[in-house]
Amino acid sequence: MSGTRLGEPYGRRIDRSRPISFMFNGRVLAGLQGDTLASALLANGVRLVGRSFKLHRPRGIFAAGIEEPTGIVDLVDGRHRTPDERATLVELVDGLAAESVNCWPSVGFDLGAVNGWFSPLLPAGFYYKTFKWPGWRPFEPAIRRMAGLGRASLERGGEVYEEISENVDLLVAGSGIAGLAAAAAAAEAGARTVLLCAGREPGGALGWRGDAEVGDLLVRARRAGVRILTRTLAFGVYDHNLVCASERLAHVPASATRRLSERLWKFRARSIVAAQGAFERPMLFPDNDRPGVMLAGAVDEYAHAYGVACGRRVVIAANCDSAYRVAESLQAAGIEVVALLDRRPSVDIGTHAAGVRAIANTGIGKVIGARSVRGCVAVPADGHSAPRLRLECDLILVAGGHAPAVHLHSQAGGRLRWLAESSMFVPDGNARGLVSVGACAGVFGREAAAQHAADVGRALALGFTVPAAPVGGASRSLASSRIAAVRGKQLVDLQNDVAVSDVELAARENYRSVEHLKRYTTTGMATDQGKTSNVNALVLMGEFTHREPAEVGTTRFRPPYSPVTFGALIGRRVGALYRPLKRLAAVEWHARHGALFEQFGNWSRPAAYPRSGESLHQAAQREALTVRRTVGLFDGSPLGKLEVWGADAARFLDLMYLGTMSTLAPGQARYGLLLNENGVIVDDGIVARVDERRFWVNTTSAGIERTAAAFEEWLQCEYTDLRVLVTPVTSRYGNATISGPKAFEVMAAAGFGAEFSPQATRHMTLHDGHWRGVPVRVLRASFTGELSYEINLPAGETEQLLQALAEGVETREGCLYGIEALEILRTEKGYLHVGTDTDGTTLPGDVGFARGIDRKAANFVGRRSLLRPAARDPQRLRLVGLAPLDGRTLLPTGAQIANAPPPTQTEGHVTSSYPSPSLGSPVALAMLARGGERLGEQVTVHHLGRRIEARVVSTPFVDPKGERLHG
Amino acid sequence: MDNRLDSQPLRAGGVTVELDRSTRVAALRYFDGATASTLVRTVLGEPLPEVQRVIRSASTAGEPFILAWRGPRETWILAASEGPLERLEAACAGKDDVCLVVQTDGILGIHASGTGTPELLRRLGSFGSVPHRGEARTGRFADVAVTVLGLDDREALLLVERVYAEHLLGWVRETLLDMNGGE
Repeated sequence: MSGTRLGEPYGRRIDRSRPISFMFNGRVLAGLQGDTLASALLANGVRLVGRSFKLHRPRGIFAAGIEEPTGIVDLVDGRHRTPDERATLVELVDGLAAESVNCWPSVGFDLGAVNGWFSPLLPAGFYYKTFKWPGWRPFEPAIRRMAGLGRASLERGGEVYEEISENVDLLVAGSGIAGLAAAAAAAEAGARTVLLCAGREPGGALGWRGDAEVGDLLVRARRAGVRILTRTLAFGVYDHNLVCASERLAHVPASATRRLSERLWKFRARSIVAAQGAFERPMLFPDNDRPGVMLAGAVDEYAHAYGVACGRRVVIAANCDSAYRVAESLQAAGIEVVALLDRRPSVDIGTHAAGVRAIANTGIGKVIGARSVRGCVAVPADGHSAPRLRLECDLILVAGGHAPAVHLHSQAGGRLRWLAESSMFVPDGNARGLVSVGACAGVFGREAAAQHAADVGRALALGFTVPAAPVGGASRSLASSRIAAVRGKQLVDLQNDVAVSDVELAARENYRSVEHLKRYTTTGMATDQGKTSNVNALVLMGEFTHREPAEVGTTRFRPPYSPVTFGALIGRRVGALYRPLKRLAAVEWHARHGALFEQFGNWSRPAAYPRSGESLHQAAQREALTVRRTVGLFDGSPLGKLEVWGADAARFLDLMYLGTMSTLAPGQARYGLLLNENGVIVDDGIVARVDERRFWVNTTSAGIERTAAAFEEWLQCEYTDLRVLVTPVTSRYGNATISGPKAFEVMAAAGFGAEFSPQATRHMTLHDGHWRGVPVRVLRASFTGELSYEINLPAGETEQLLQALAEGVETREGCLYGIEALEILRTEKGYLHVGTDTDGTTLPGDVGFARGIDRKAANFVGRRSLLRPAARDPQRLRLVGLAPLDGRTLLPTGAQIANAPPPTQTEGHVTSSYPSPSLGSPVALAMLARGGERLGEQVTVHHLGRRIEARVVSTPFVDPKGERLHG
Repeated sequence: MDNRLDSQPLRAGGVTVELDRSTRVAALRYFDGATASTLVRTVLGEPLPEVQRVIRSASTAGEPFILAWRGPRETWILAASEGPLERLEAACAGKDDVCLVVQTDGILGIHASGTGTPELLRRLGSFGSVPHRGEARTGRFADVAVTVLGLDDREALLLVERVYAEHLLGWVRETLLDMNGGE
């Protein structure tokens, strides 16, 4: 195959006056503005582009578009690599550098090609069978080195990605004649229409031929207001008509410091029209993967669109009528068509090509040439009878029929049916919310496709019934193009080196489901997702299992339709924008005071304030001990806060919480457990009554959204008669919590009056007041077991309050403490931490609130579930304290409690565990079967092969009588 | 105040973005819109806005304020001074069906103005969330919930929970870099 440029009028997409220099495998080559990397390589006569995935067979360019299975390259710029780009989709730019994949030391001399010698030993699933002993791990690195495609870069380039959402009336995916017709008609009927064009310009296959009707439709569409996004591929249809598409904006050189390179579109469409055309089906014959074997339609496209003659002497292996049109087209371009070998009997052939030697009932029995095609041997279709005909050629075209691109239809839940005459799967009716038009609907007649698409576009815009697709127009083609009696490897999936023999092996090994076939042989996987291999594989599967293709069926197509970069999916969610982290108002103040920030429940907050040389663990221990001995200051701003207001607020909170809130007098507060309808604990917190109608509800830091959502859901769906309004106010308030024996001393030093003294302000009470003119709301509650004040104030004033309190803390040898110390302190007290000590099965009775259930007369959410026998089963896990028998060993959180080492029935697990600085020994909480009845019992804790003996103890570990709470 | 949010205005791509720290915010919550509307009209001289609408006005004392629809039972009041909020709060006292929840410090405003404003909003969130003049729309911008008020054709106020303000500003900063000749 010697590639050369054809003269005018060939090459509609290229600009011959603008040469471009690029590199391939270190060689400087010349292309033209408008070329793809594939067309430029072909124009330069480059045949060998890469090596195959498993067997390292030589591979060249096979297709011209998204379906390319073999022309895979890495784009290289300095130390930055973009792996596994299809050369057919890479737009040529000056300075672009590409390298072959999966070869060493070079694509021409690849040591990995030795795999080909052992190919009989490497059938489908060989790694499952061969590497059982001593395990997969020792073999994995070597296999991974030998197999695969490109290499990802470890360097970050200048690429930036973004994501945009849009609502549209009609989204048309595909810009061929059918897509354009649908979009134009819909927009003219008043629908807000977006048309996605995967390539550089709309028009599809007719576009690069300069078709006049396509040009007219484009003008109409633009005039009607259709928004056309080029280089934008719809790759997935999801629930509720969400369509995701990726838009390629620019090739980004690594030298660029920043360049927006790709955009993810999320369209929410009232209706979707799929118009993504059809893929040409390859033919099966020995060595059908040699560089120089190409899809017939692709070669025609390279000639017309890029002015590239992929070869000079062509043999066409055909199974459909379109091959004849390509033959005539190439002859007209001056490319000699040596022969057209039609696999079909004469009776199935519906056309002819003038001046082309066509031979019916014939296929290719052998390809001559290893790294490029030098000829082939034609054999009768039965493979046995003479004569065998040797043909000299430098290019073999395959035209096995067409496979409609039914991916989006299938993703949307649409069904498929087998059209036996043309050997293709077509949509069986429409999917919900999505209508296929044109070739992807099985409508191959040009007039019919355009008319049907226009009717569909208009009907969708106006809300009329969508007309059925006039399926047809494709020629007859045989389901199987295989010639049975010839020797040699016939590739079904060129990308994954899946051969006919692999499918046969799968059938012999009794794989019957098409889903199993796919996974066992790996056909249809990787970057091309089987666009050229799926139908051949299904037909073969049917052949080997004596079933029709319709019985074999297809796998369910899943997104993405074509590979999407991780960058596009991530968008701007990189680094600090990785996810929306909630941020403290006084974050800078904490940073200045040495805070070590960690993420807890979507908040970035101080874990501890390590001093020089201290570890996080040491800092937390010091801080916890300091709180017990003197005083500590904690930023409790993340605590969730809700204002619940209304005449029925008290009654509503009775319904929502285990704990009666309606009996609270203004200024009183009470602990409450929030349950779901199954009685499972979903959050906890403190409810305080501000006045007759207004309550102040504290939730856990991570639980505010779910608590607010639960409140709204119950109010809007069930308790609709209650006059209650719920307003989240977490962001509005900062919270400084002062805790320890000297807590009030610190407050007094900061200017808080005697009205906040422990004597005047009782535990579990709420007081509104002012501090330095700032309104404050002080809650006497404690999660440390010490005298504590939670001081809430406008968030912007938090830093001022923290600073004032910190000065008093410092003079009393107290400290700032973080969330790690708080965990130690609350575990010493045996206080429950929802989400740590509980899981999705924990009921109030499991954590010591059984009496609360029985005592509460009023109804509440979850009550009914708690009255079931299963909820009162004495075997249930109960929260208990655990202490190691040796008084030294920390019980690992998550460790299992069991009579014997695993695997065995466990009795429970450790939920919280810390060394207690106050006691000098570890303390732990655990969920243990019949825990409440087992105080004093010895249990065994198992963790990664270790056994630790522990005793079940009562909690609290510290201050059992709770005297320290009161100062 | 929150120092890290004290950044200079961001200017790029025909848009200027800056944190608006002078605005006081409160949520008027009610069961019956008509009753609440009467109360607001009595106090501020304007009724509650229609669905997804914004009213910009000034009190008889000349204090400018904005009423922004948030939901069937919620309207936000934004003002440059405490006066309008205090008068509304006083008017709500003792009422059975309407209350005022102060959100100043909890809801921050980010002001965007210039020809690039619609483009910025589109790229932060979605076409559907870009308000026309006089509209109030709540949508997902930069992965967080933001209420955007269309103050003018080229001017918008983004209202976001304080805890997410830095995240939103960071996203804005990145987007502006790309609007500033990034493509």
